[in-house]
Amino acid sequence: MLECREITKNYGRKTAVDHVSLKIEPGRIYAMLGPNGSGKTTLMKMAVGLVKPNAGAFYYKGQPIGIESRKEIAYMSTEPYFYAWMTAKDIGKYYEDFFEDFSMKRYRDLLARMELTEDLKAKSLSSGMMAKLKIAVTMARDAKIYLLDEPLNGIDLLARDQIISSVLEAVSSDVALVISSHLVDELEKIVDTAIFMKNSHLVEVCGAEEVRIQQGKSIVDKYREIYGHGGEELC
Amino acid sequence: MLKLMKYELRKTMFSKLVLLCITGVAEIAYLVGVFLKTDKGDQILAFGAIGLMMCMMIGIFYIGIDSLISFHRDLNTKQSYMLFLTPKNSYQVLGAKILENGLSIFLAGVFFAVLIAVDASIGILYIGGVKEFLDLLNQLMISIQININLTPQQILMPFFAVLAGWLMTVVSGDLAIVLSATVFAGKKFSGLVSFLIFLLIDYIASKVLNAVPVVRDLMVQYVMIIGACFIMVIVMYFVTGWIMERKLSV
Amino acid sequence: MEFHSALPIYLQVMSFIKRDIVNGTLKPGDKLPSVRDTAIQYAINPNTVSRVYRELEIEGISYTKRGMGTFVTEDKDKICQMRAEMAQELVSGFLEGMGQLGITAKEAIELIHQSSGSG
Repeated sequence: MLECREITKNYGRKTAVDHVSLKIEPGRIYAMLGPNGSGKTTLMKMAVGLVKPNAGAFYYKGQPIGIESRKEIAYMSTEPYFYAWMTAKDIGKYYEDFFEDFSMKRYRDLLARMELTEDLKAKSLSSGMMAKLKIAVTMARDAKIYLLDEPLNGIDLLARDQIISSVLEAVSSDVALVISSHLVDELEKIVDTAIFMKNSHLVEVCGAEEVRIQQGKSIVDKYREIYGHGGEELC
Repeated sequence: MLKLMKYELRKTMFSKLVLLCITGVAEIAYLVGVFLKTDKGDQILAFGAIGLMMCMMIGIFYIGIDSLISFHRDLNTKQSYMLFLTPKNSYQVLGAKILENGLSIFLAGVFFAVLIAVDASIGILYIGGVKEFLDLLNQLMISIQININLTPQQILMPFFAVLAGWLMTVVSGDLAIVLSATVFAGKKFSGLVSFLIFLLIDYIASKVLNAVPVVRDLMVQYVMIIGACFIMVIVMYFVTGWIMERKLSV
Repeated sequence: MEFHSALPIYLQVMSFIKRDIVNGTLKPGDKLPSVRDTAIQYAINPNTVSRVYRELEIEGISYTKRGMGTFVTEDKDKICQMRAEMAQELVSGFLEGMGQLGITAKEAIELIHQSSGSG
């Protein structure tokens, strides 16, 4: 459904993503794993056209990504990006103005579940509240692909459960989710497929249950194998 | 497109409201001065009148600068995702910005022109009295007949030509900002290089305006200058949009 | 819900559901929650849940009514058999552990008597 071929991005002399080819299929949840700086964020940003590749390209349903793909792909960045003057309500209005698949009702539901109110100012939110707000506004879209960059960063345990539920609710046979994280064990149970990025390369793509069945290993074990540590020190 | 423009207006709303408030203070000072008819009143009147002229010049100048500041922020901070995640292409994003800014500059111009015309009329009426005003008008008519044919149109045309020229400068600023964020991104002195490019573009633009043939009819002359400005704006718009669409990473 | 992350999750969820059927939390003929609800309840992948339901059906522990959902089998013998199997599994695991400590089955039975007597 979403595919990139030999995609490469350089920042000056530094290569952020190096000849990566990847296919995202509907009905699956993907974990994009790797330490900070391994190229996860850049790869995701290229999928929505925020970052233009130096070589290769992203395709959605066989077409190069563009305006049409952005209507169906919901991206959530790690960093907060709302205008400083906005309240949670303004943010919902903005999404309603620009995304046909956005549901104000679902947004209000999600805000309530995350214990956020509509009058909260984007400027004054703590990082945990901001993370919840970003998830709420992203998951209130009825998108075909959700790309979530580090959605569990800086979030307390209870809110993590809320976020994981709202993510799982979005899954259906024609929807794909990609969740990037360096908190491997958080994603262990909920993903179909793990994508491992290392030093701007794609090193391995493997099915989570297959790894457990065939190798008797967890995704965390796999992560240790690839990176030499479990990602703990990066938390 | 309208929705994009709505948010462009929202971004620059604050400075426009500040401008409106300061203009309001100057206007009140002017009117108080007109009605007081004392020495003190004359001082307040002068203060108000100068204030209004300053508001007009600095205000219209700042409306353009504000648009450039917001564009720079829209490309170089995380806030850029707000625009570039929406299903809109670079031409629409940039177009909304230039249209909003062009309309703001134009409407601010109309606003100040009307305000000054009304204030001038009030001033003449109340300071000179109705009879004196009619005399003055008569004299003016005579002088107009004899000297140059100075109609309101002929005062306004150069004014709007200046506004169009200012919009052209702002759009060349937009182009320079995009160049700094794309072609020169991550390079040393990208800001300085872009500023030099801005000066170069503006220099070329003024050459283009100078190349507008001189005609005897002043009205036609100004229409041609304004037209040339708009053509430059459109050309730079497409060049800027083209670069954004291909090169811009936010 | 705690899972062992190196063991297939579908097997772990299957044993949770089987346990609920055996101890009567889920009664014969009860409707199992939808795949999505189960996924959210256990916070696991929905495809894993689909697999759980498929495997349960293959084992004859559940059946699907088209368009209605998945139901616990009404075959009581099947449930009894499953109960016996699961108990057997626990017992052999227990005895194996005891064996590693050098405790014979007989001694183990004695220990069980003691602790259930005093507890």
